Amino acid sequence: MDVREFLQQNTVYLDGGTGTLLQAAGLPLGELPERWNVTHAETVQGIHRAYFNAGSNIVATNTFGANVLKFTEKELDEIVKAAVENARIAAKTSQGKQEKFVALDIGPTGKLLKPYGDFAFEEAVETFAKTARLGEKYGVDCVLIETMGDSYETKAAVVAVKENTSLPIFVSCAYGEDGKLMTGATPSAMVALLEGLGVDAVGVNCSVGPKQMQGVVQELLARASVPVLVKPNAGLPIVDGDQIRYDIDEKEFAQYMAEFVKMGARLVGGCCGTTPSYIEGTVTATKALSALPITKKEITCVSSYTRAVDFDKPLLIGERINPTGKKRFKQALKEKDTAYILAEGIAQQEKGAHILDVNVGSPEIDEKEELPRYIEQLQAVIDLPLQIDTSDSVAMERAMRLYNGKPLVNSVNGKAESMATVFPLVKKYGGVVIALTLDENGIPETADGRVAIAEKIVATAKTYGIAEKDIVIDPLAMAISADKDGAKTTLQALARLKEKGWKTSLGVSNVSFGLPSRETINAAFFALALENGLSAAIINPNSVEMLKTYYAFNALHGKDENYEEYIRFATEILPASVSTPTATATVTSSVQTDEKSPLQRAIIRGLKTEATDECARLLQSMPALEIVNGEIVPALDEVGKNYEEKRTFLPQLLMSAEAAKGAFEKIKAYMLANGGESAKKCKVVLATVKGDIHDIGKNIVGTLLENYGFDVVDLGRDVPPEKVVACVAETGAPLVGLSALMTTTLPSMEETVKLLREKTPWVKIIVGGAVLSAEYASKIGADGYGKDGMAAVRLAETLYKK
Amino acid sequence: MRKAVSVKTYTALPDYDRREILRYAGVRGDGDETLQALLGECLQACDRAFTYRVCYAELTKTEFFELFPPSETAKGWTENCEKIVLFAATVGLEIDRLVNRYASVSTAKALLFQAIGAERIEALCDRFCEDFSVDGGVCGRRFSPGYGDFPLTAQREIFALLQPEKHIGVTLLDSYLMSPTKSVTAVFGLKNTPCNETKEEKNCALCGKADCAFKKD
Repeated sequence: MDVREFLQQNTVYLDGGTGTLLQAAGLPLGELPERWNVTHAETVQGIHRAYFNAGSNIVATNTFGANVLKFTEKELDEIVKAAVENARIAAKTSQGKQEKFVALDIGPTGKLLKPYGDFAFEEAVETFAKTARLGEKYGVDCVLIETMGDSYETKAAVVAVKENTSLPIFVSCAYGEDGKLMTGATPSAMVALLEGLGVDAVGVNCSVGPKQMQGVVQELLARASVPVLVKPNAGLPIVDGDQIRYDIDEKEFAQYMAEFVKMGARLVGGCCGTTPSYIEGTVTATKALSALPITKKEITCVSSYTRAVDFDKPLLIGERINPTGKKRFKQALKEKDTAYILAEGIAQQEKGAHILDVNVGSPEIDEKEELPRYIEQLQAVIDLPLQIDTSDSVAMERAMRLYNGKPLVNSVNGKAESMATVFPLVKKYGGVVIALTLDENGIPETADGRVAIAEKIVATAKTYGIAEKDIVIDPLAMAISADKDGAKTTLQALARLKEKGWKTSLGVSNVSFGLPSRETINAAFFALALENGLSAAIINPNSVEMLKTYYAFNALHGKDENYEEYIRFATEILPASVSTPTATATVTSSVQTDEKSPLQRAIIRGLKTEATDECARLLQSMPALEIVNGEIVPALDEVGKNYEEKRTFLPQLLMSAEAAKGAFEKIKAYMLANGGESAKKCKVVLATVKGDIHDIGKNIVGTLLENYGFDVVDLGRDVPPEKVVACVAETGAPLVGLSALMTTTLPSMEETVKLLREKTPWVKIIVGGAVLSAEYASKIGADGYGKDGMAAVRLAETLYKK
Repeated sequence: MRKAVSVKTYTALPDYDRREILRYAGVRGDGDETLQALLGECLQACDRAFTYRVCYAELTKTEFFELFPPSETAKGWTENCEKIVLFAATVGLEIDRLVNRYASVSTAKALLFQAIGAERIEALCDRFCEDFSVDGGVCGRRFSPGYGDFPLTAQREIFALLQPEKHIGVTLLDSYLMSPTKSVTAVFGLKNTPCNETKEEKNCALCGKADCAFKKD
């Protein structure tokens, strides 16, 4: 019988701990347990057999750490082959008459994925793929990916198994006592991610005992539409000399497991500290219980690396990461100014956006490269789910593959070609997809026409195995300036879609195109759309009018408990959004006691908002260049001098730098709007060298260099020498800054300098970082050593003039 | 060597030491009002960012010297010690995310976040060590790989023994850095007799580095 089929009707018994039994059987210190499949086959078979005798339906092979990081490919092949054989022999020779299956066991690699670790996503996929292919080759019935502590590594493992085998996949994660994975994901977030990827069961194992696991199991059962797996430890560990005992015996364990089965768990077994008698006890305690049916949960949700966001009340999708109609944004994309784009994301989150749309489509941009790159950068620092927004299917696939969660995908439409391109991606990687109600014949003028297209899209999605809950219909907001009934049609369509129980979204602001005071129309239309059942709106979270409508609507509809969100909006966001003349006044009034201008004072005191506002005011009457040379630069010089003379310290220096950056940002926008680009001294390429993930020092240098007019290209951290060289060669930059914090990464700094000397002889190199010294810098052939950020700026100024 | 590894989770630590945080951020003194306000904002954003986890094992002196060849310093500090505690501690990955998040928006904030993380992980280590001070007294100071004659490569042995990846979510990168970055591995001796070293003696007086920006007065 197929294991999937068996799972449909039955409670499935898994095995218990293997490691402890191997140690008891004499596994010596430092020996990798997987080797025993080959060297001590009978011992391993004996352990598996004991579990089959105890009533296990599925026994997992002794391959938890069997991967190419620990073994050569040849040995890995031998190990997996032997491991599967051992389990098969045990199944044959055991007394149990139950259905018996063998699962390929896959555990975490022990490495953390980038950007917080040094293991690339695709490397992880390839590592898991090698083990998975062997598992299928030697004939396992399914794969058990277990004890995973990180959502991203879990995704890599599932993608690997899915792409390389056709085996059923069960995935179990290790949640701590706080109910989260080590890297932060909640059970809901994991269910979203894993169901999206199409796994056959989701679950929890290890870390804690059954008692501490109850909350997680409840959450999994409430969210999952696939069977739930539970494999606790034998309670909590008690260290007893050099031994570890667990605090729950067979009997108590079995009672807890019976509770889980009554709650609806469908695959039960044990982890650390459990033995065949724990499994036997569990089988005895639960065999009379009937397996609860597995129910579809119909929850429309997307997720980030840490949380799931449900479409159960109206959501705001921030639209600002999009170059359409924004010169400054296009400029940032062209310059690969990641910081600018991340800042747009962070600002929208602070304004209350629930999901961020990410669109980097612009004629000069290679979306296939850039979209996945920005997705990776954004998901490293923002815990909101992202909406992958592109019409380039290659860019879409790459971004979906690298996304650490279940994304919102923008978009598919009723054209056959669009559906044939997008649906296979959604099926493979998971996601909720926005469906635009247009097709080969254009946009229907009636609500009926749009609903008909929605029906066609939902029906087609079903043929790909994509559920209704994973489609959000966009009935298209049209400009009323072009069609006076445009808004009415959209609203009617919304109401009709709501009746069908489908989720909807709209790009709200299209409605006011061509009219003055667009926000007035947008806000009113938004209120009407919400009243007609809109589930998600793509809006500009900086628009106070839209936020007013949104929070008021939720409050009026009883969707805001205790009016908490409304009150937060009214007391925090609303006052901050109106300009504060008081702050500027303080700066201005103190001028009388000081010859410095308000802008200079704001910069010196590190007040970013004031500096930005003041600069905007000055731009109305003063040439930009004069502001830079007569105001900003003298202020920065004073701050720099104060720092060098130890009158102020690093954080204050940086606050001033940020205040100046705010002013520069205004000047840059002004220059772009009025033609011409702001003058830059020269390009400086910055990087933290390969192997090193500390980059605060490098970021400080970057901020200061920008202040002093350098055009900074920041390559980030853990940058291979070849990448630094390639960037210098491509940009022709005359200056490079390299940073390293650890003694172990100094060799890669030396290597980078060497390669730069060889391939780009013109470039001057500045180095810095905790473990460097002037002597070491000159020894490895750098042109200068910056002991701190200001020193690096001074050096750059000297070297640039040479 | 296989040792039973214990895991300890702390739900709360002593309050933030603002002065200490600023010291890590390179400030002498208390900073001005604007800086204090910024620090206040950062501390607020750290609300619930930390998970305090430690995993450790107790070794006999013989076992310890089996694992790490006895260096001069180690011979000194293990005197009068019956047991050596080997531990790994972390305040979690969230603070790294905060540092990175603000790196692109505000380097001043990023700097403060990383200083807050430094203060927290030290506070965690202090608290963990204090737990051993109940009967008889811990002490001696903590030694971490990479300091003095305790080689950085000792990280390999520590990780093999403690398996912090599994127990507390700390991984060792190929470059011997740890992730989360606000993590510490260290050893200290459990002495037979109460110890009378003060905290300052433990931290700065014994260190030979002359030009340290963080040296306490």
